[in-house]
Amino acid sequence: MKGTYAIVETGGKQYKVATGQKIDVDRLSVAEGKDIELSKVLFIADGEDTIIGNPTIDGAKVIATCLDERKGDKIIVFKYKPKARYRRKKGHRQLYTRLEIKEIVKPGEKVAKAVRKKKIAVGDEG
Amino acid sequence: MSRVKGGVVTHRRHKKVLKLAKGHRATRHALYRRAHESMLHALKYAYCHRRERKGDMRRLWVIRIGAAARAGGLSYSQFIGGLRKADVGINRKALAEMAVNDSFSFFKLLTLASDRLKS
Repeated sequence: MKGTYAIVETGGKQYKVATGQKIDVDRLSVAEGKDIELSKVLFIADGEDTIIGNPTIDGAKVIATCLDERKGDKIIVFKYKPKARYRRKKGHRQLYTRLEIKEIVKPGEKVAKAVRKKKIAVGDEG
Repeated sequence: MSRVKGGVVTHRRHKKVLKLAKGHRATRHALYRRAHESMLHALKYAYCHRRERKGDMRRLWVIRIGAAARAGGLSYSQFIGGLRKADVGINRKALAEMAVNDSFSFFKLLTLASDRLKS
């Protein structure tokens, strides 16, 4: 096993995420292009060690960017009882937010390594 | 007003039903009346079985977790009991994923669970 991954909970579901991964989660109220912090981190593994939450890990979070909002495929919800003249038909499309995982922050670590790196790079050029 | 004949509308409605009944057996994909009833049942089963799938998956995860836990010397119920005592909130979906793809982390959870069971 290689690479860091975390298990985070959002929308009542748990996702295994790694940096750079794109996931669809139940719609969250974030604007497109904005970052969001998922703070319900249950587990982190980095290939050498693991951090197990009880049930969540204090101070750990996953930073993700909202790429866009999308809808799932259409599902026809059809309830039917034969001989009782009961029929209900409804269309449904689940609402998702597509997230790109930017960073997995362990407790005690500072946020946004990527941002700081960028700043340094800019300084070097200047 | 000009008269609208019913044939076109009927044909469209029939087409819709026959489209949904594609792949059904025998006359049930070709004859409107047979296809219509077939469609009613099929959509109902689709709805029910989407709900059933949640339980199906959970059962599968439990089997996978159980197998991996047994390989590490704990039964499924002991493993889950230990995790519960340790206040671990990882669900069965994620645990099963770990059991299959990340035996190292799963082993860590196993040791944690067995430690908690002893204390």
